[in-house]
Amino acid sequence: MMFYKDTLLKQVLKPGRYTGGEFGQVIKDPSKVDCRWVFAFPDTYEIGMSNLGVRILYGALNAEPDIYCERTYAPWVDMEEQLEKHGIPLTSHETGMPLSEFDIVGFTLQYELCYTNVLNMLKLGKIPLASAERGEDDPIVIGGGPCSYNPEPIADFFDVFSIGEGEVALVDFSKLYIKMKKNGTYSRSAFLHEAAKLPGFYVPSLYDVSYNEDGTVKAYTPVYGDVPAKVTKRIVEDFNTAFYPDKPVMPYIECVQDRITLEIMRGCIRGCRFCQAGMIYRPVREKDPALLNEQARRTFENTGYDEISLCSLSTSDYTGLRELTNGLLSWTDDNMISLTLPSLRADSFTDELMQKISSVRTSTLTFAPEAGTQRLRDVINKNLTEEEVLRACRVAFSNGKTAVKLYFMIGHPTETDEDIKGIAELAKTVIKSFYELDDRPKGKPQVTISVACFIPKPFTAFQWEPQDSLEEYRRKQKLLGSCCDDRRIKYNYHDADGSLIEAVLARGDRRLCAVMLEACRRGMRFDAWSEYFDFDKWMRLFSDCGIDPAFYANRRRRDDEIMPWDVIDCGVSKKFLLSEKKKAYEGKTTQSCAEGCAGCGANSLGGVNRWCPLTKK
Amino acid sequence: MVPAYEKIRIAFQKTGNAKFISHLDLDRTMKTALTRAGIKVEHTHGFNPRPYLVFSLPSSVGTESLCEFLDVNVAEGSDISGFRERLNVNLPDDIAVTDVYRPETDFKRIKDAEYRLTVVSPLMDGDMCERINELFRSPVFVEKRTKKTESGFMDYDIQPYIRSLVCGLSNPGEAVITTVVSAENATYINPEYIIKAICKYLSVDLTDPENSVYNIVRTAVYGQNGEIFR
Repeated sequence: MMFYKDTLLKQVLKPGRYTGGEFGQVIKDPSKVDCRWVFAFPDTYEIGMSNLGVRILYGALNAEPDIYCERTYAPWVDMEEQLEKHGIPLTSHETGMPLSEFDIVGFTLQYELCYTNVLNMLKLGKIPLASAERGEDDPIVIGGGPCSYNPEPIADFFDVFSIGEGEVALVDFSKLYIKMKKNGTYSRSAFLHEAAKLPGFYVPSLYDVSYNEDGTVKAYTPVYGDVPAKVTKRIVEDFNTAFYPDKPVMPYIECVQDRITLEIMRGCIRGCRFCQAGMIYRPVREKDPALLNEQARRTFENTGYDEISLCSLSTSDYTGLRELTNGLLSWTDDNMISLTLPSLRADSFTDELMQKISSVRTSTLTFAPEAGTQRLRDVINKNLTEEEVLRACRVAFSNGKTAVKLYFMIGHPTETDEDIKGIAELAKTVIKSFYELDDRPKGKPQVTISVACFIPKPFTAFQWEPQDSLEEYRRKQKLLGSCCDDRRIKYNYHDADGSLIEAVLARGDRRLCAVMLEACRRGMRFDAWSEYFDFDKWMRLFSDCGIDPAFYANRRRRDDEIMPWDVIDCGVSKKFLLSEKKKAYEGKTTQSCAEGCAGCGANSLGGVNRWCPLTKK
Repeated sequence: MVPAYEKIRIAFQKTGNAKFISHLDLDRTMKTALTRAGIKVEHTHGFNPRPYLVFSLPSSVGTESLCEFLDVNVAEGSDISGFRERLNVNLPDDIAVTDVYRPETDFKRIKDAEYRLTVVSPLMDGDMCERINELFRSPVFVEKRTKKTESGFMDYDIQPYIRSLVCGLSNPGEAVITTVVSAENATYINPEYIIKAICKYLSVDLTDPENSVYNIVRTAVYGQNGEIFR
């Protein structure tokens, strides 16, 4: 069998994706554990190994002596062909066990376009696709991650979803499994019923959904009286005591994020109205800088990485940033380690920070104004002025940079052509400011503008909003292109096609499960990869399944409409989101948590944290 | 002041899963292992300083090797006696350092490499072994990647660069080929070519996982005068 795998691996590109055996992988005696997990990442090895969430959960589950968690990733199409040709099931990296033999199979759902991969992996793992078709010997299939805040389009294929932060919740879940197996009370249905009573677990089959005549949701009704009507997200109360993976698996082949990722803070104090992450990760909790420094040091010793990325949704809002960076720089330079700070806000980017991140080596600097005019930036509550963007760029230029990157989104509610033109105007102003600097570096400036299409997401102030039509997106992209008439501006934009599919899946309901099943039957997968994404195929699929994508993507919802994700409580109240939507249309901004509590409601979740003044103890 | 460095050589094996690690990825694996082992090596001096690693003759993906070499520069006069153990606890199980020493030779001296190819297939019998031995006594053309032709491939006679080749049956259905081939830059012979040639000329499919498997191990590297390179 060993030799068998060997010959297969010689037929595929990048066999290092499938070998396992990396430094740092966890090896346990399977006969000495009571619960066997496999963590399935529905994308390639290079993407999956980069994911901090997976590193955390792999470490947290394996820290338990009675649980063994292994890993698997979506095989690339060449490997998939080999597996199918020879009838070999998808297996785990550590022990090579087929997915179907595990107790629990966990999928992390990071983006909607990976859904087709989830189904394909279940198929390759020889696990019945529909939860309803699984028998007592089949694994429990659980999902989690940001997309599980509206899991309805894939609800039929999961036995249960973990809502919120999994590092403690999944251990509790496993312990329940072990307990019920040991005392003989386990059956699939009994276990799922019990799991639904644990905080933060949503079992879709225990909720009946009814619809109105116009196609909107009428009601979600729990099947049993003891199952909560709304599933409240689980959080890690004290971020300082949260599990941190300081001995991650070292990937054999180069990954997207091949560095130490230091999570300094969870949640974001800002409240941009388009941003889902900014809402679902509330309340904001910071980690102690001294502890972070210690964790970074340990991780460096265990990994040998030469880069530390300070990761959060808005790194420069972290109140301990100066103390942390000073602490890190006291040993990182000597070890040739560079610091990177993604998610920097332009308004807090300073000379000091610039020098700190460029002491060993530097990368391109990126800022995200998100919109081209002040009016629209106020609508989306970005709370960033043009002068602040310019000042940040000047800091970069004065420190020897000639290139900066700016991120924007088009299609925000209330957007006009003036806002589109404003994007190019802002880029031109940045170029002008380069030449006004006395201490500018030699050479020509280069401003790259990357423009994404707005996708309305659940649990945001814009969850009621229609997405622009494809024609409108294409018109706006062309308009912006015609305004970028300066060769020092590099204009990149995302294809609108994929954004439409994402918009459908992001706010879809359970009726989309039929579409996903058919997508799997038609062999669709790797839709997040442009070489395999086929828009026409998706359109045919919707039409063959009798689904109108515009109903999900381009329809304006009434304020009182019941949303498919209303069965989930992410802490931030619907009342708050509605008031934010109203303020958006009035062009009024909302203060950040640092300036005062805006009353989003996330403090009801508790948590040891810095920002919520009304936290219940 | 620029600190003084001296060259040390790390001899290692890569077997099992590690044979699927490409040269570039082996480079990354070794860099992080050196750091984990607390061995400070000289970095490149450009805008993007990286540890400076030189590998000799990296074996191709899919080939096991018992004799790989890596040169790095460490501070002059370092005590290198513990390096082997320190590296081994910091490497994946399938990569093992066999020796760390101050080298007296240069990678340029490498001339030939010896490989052991084990082929398991019902097609392998005494007669087949004889045919394999016969095959490599006259010109053997295999398809080779090249930038010289439009198709990106050219037919290439590997026979002149095969110093010796002996095929014998080790068990029923299992043949072992021991061969010494050129390892010099211009005439380097990838041992997979031997398998390719057998498949092509003797009309057997050794790449079908249902029927056959083969494994290639580099067993020795030789210098210009036929001496074992180290």
